[in-house]
Amino acid sequence: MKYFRLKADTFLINGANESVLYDVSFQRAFVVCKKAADYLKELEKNRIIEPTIQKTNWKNRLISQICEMGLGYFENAPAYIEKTTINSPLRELMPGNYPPSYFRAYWNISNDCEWNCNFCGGKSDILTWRTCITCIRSAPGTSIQMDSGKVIEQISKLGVSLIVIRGGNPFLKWQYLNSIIEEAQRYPHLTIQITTPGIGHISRRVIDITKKFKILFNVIMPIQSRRYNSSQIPINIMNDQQINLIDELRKNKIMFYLTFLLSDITLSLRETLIKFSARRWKLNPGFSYAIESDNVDAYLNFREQYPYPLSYWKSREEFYFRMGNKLCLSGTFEISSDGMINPCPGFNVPCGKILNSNISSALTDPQLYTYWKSDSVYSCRCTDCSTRYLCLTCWSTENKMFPVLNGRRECPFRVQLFKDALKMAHKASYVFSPLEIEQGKL
Amino acid sequence: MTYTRATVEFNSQKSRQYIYDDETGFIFPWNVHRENALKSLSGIISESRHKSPRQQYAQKYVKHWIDHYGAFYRKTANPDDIGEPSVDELRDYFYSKASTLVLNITESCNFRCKYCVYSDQYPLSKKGRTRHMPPSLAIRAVDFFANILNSQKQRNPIKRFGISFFGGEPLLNHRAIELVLEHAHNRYPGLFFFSLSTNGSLLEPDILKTLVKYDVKLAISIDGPQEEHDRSRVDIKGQGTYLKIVSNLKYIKTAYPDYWRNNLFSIPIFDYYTDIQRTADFFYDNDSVVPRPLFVSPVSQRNTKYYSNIKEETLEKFNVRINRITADYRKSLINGYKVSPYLRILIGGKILKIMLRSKLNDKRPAFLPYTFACVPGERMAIQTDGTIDMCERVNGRYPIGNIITGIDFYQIRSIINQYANSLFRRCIVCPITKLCSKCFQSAETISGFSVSNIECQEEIAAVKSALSDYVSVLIEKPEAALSVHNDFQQHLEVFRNINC
Repeated sequence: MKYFRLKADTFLINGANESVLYDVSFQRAFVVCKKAADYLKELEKNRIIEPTIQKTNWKNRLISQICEMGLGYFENAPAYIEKTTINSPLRELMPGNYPPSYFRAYWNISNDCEWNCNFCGGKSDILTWRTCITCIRSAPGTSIQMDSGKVIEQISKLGVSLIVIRGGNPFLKWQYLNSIIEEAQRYPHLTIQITTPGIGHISRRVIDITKKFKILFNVIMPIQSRRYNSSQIPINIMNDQQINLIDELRKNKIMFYLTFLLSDITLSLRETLIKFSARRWKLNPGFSYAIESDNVDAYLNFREQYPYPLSYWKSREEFYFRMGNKLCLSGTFEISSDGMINPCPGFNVPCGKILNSNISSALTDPQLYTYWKSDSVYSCRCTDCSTRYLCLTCWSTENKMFPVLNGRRECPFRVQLFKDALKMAHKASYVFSPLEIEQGKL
Repeated sequence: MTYTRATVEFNSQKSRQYIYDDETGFIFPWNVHRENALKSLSGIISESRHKSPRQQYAQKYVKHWIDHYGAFYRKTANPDDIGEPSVDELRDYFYSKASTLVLNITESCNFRCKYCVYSDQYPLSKKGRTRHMPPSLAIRAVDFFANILNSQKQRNPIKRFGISFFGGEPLLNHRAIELVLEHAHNRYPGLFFFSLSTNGSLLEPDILKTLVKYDVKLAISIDGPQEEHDRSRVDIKGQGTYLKIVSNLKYIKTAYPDYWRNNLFSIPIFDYYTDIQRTADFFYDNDSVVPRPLFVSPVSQRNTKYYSNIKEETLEKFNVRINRITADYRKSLINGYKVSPYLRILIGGKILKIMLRSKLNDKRPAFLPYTFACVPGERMAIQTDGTIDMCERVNGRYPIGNIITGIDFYQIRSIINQYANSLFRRCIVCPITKLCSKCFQSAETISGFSVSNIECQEEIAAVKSALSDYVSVLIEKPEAALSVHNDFQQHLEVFRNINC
């Protein structure tokens, strides 16, 4: 007679229809059907079972499969197996330790842009995905100019390590941008990234500025159809000024990312753009999306959705961090062009207003931190989802559609994925890796 | 570099073997195969050629925890290599961690409790003075503290810090308290939460109005039923004080029921003569008047003459009672019975301490890696003359500055060095460093800091007993931890701020 127990660093997380076993040390996750999960939970209460090599019934097959995978083992006597955490729970409970830490600050310094893309400016009929890596403005509005030295000093004191300066096109406020960068150089732990559509004659300025300071660039190429553009500037598939800028960046060995912003009309160009970038610049571009809200079918076809939302943790620390915090949002805030504090560039949910360039007082609104913490941000849908610690999806689309994040937009394709997995659970075996399912290996 | 085994073995009530590993802070079910596997992996015994499946599995199990979490063995450096902190390091630590200001608002007291640490019973900490802190000095101390907090406020704008009023009996200087509360509230709105430790005899309506207005948490000393309380807690004339305190509590309950519920706590003290069961019943039966305990503390046994005449049989009787009560408490937790709030702290507190222990990533500062000691300055106790002590409970021989001249970081470094030199040679090989309760105050002697080998062994035995209780309860009922956890959460803010 034996007692079967899951390893102390293997967590069984239940969802509405299925559960997932997270093996923290070996960075693995396995889908378990509800029936099997209920049985495992029962065994956690020190129920006696008879270990056998004969796989006569589903329970024995399940247990032997889990043992083979190294997720559990037999004990001779009833035992208390404490689930491992790497921090004392006290750390989470202490009021002084809340909020956690500030990692990133997005700062929209200009609401101006040479272009007038139809999807830009917080329009309610446009859904955007991964807004944070684009130049899309979350809301139309006037820009206010804050004291750059004071703002940078305060951001630095918050412990932020990365400031992403974005617009519109921040280069349209060249003097201001220059003063910000000069101020930021006084704080060696700060990294500055400038997100720009790269239009206008800015190549010379970019090169001049990087001669003096170490800066990262993120060049956004909105790939649009004419239908989407109402500005007077003619737009081809790719803009010559942008291509010249990237050529210059490559030539001068300046560090940059390239992000293509696709719409539902230009989705099909994705592969072509990858090939073009690889051939011309030898780089892998990133993608983000802006689509019309009534064309949701196109949204479900985003390639980046597939590898991105289900993602393994890189370290134990990250896994335990995911358990308490929303990885995408935690430690992040955006200063919008009109001085409001948003949880991120894709969330137009003001959580405070900066007055007299005083960031500290604007960050006292607890709403911001509720977005950072998983228990508050996770919707009822998420708490019912067993893959919540694998999910890194961007919620900005969801936020645009529904005031309360409830996964109605984000989750359907994954729900389908798991429905397929569950069907297979009864046919093949009881434990699956969700990524294997996703990649079509099962 | 050598390696030392950093584990302590213990058994659950049903004799199931476990080990606690101090390197990771994890608890492991243990058996002879795992023990042999660990010994063979560390080269203590030779590896057998033919292993049974059980032995193979044990080896895999042990190796997993060593490889992935660095469990079981501690790299033992030379104690001299721990290194003393630089002044800059201490300054950075101080400005990022200072959390509580304790204002020793008066040295005077209207009680003459027999176990008071400022009485003749405790020659080391005896205070013969009766000075009040001038209000101007108290206000200056608050400004001094607020100034220190600037960098933390920048980093975490919603963080709040504690101001605690301590004595003597602080309400003997209530004018200073009122002025401090008004000043802190007006000048630094939302920055502080306040607490006050009192004997409860001076909670008059006028004073209460102020305390309620500023939402001050009150920790009231009440030891138990009248006979227990009046045995030690007497006034200047030697009269019992129970009736006066209970009358004040009844008034508060009637006049400010919400304040009573949310802001009042009792801090009972017990000694070897205390009838624990009767006291526990008292807190259970009178919970409509006597507030729930926040701490239940024993009378300090160090540097005292208090127990010089205690009989062996009294000690034995006390231990028998405590063991019986602990067993009953375990049963109550497992079966979900309601327990006295007194026992939830006295017995449940030990279980809670195990539950909330430090784990792998909870690192103490490198210059003070062992024991439970705060870094001097995290908590600042301002004496009536403006001297800054590291804690209100140390005897005043280790000042760390003055609110006029500021913090003396060289002095802090010197205190840490004295402490480290006295204790850490033994700590390096100790298997319970993450659970040790020793600190500057509890290691203080007439000749500096010192903890004897016997005290260390007693500490280890107490930890083993608490580990055993913890595991025994959770084998039977894993969700029991949650109820203790929730209880703790309710007390959290005060827990941080009040020290009995």
